Amino acid sequence: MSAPPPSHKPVSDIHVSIEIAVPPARLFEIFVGDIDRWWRRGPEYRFFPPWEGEIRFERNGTTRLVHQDGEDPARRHVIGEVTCWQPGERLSFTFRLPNFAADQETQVDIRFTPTGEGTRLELTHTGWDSLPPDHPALHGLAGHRLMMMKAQIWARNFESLRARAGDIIEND
Amino acid sequence: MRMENPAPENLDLILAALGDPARRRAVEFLKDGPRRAGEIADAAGMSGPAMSRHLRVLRKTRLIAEERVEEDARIKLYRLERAPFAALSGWLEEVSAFWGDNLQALKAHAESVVQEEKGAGKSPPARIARRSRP
Repeated sequence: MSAPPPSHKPVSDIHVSIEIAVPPARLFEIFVGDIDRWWRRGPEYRFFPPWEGEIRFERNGTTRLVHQDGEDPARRHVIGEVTCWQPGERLSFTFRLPNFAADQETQVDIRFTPTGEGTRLELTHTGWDSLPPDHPALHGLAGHRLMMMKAQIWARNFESLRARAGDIIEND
Repeated sequence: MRMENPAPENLDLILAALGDPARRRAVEFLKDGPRRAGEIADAAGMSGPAMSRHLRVLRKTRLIAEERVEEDARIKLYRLERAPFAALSGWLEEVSAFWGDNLQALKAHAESVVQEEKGAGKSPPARIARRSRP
């Protein structure tokens, strides 16, 4: 019997979309201007304890998305660098977890599409497959949600498996 | 954390076990029901000894289990175990929740800001409105 083709499934990157009753241009302003106000707090969403601090875009030649500690100016995590800034249309930035090596990063792309009086926001998070399977992000981490994104590295290969898991549970 | 999934180190073992294409093929093949080691090896296009090593890894991480055929106890079958897959499925759902939760928070915030602006009959704050470039 011949071997079946390798079970590499299509990329299963993160896709999240949402309808918001705010026009694209205004939504873009709120997205970037108020990011610390809406970006959730806590270990599941922020990058270092006490899971507070400030999330903000910083301009200094390039524009970076940063998590800055509220008390210690030296304590910060550069989440990523803006790669596309089109107000009301598109925002893209690189995205790194604190334990990524200097040359490792993933990419977030957000599209703002008008829908009547509101906006359809479509977020795509890609690049998890570029991390090697033995990357430290895969091992020995505390259980907070950001770290758990490491699963996306595997998820691209697991789409069918995931569906299968659903079948298995349903048929249980 | 609200998750009722395996501890991260256990999950790492599961993911590591499933990180190998041959082992994924074995798992895919077993989805249709219990099979003998030889059948699994054939389906994956591998030798028996090579597949045997992979099955050992899957068994060790409890992704599969052995069972004997009632009619002939000499025949050993492998089947998928449900628990790790249920845990994995739920865990992967949690991963996507990071952005989902944050965008829900953005929606609540943005809609409330705009409602307040409408209520107050004022334009958006100039400091934000001017911010058209990074």
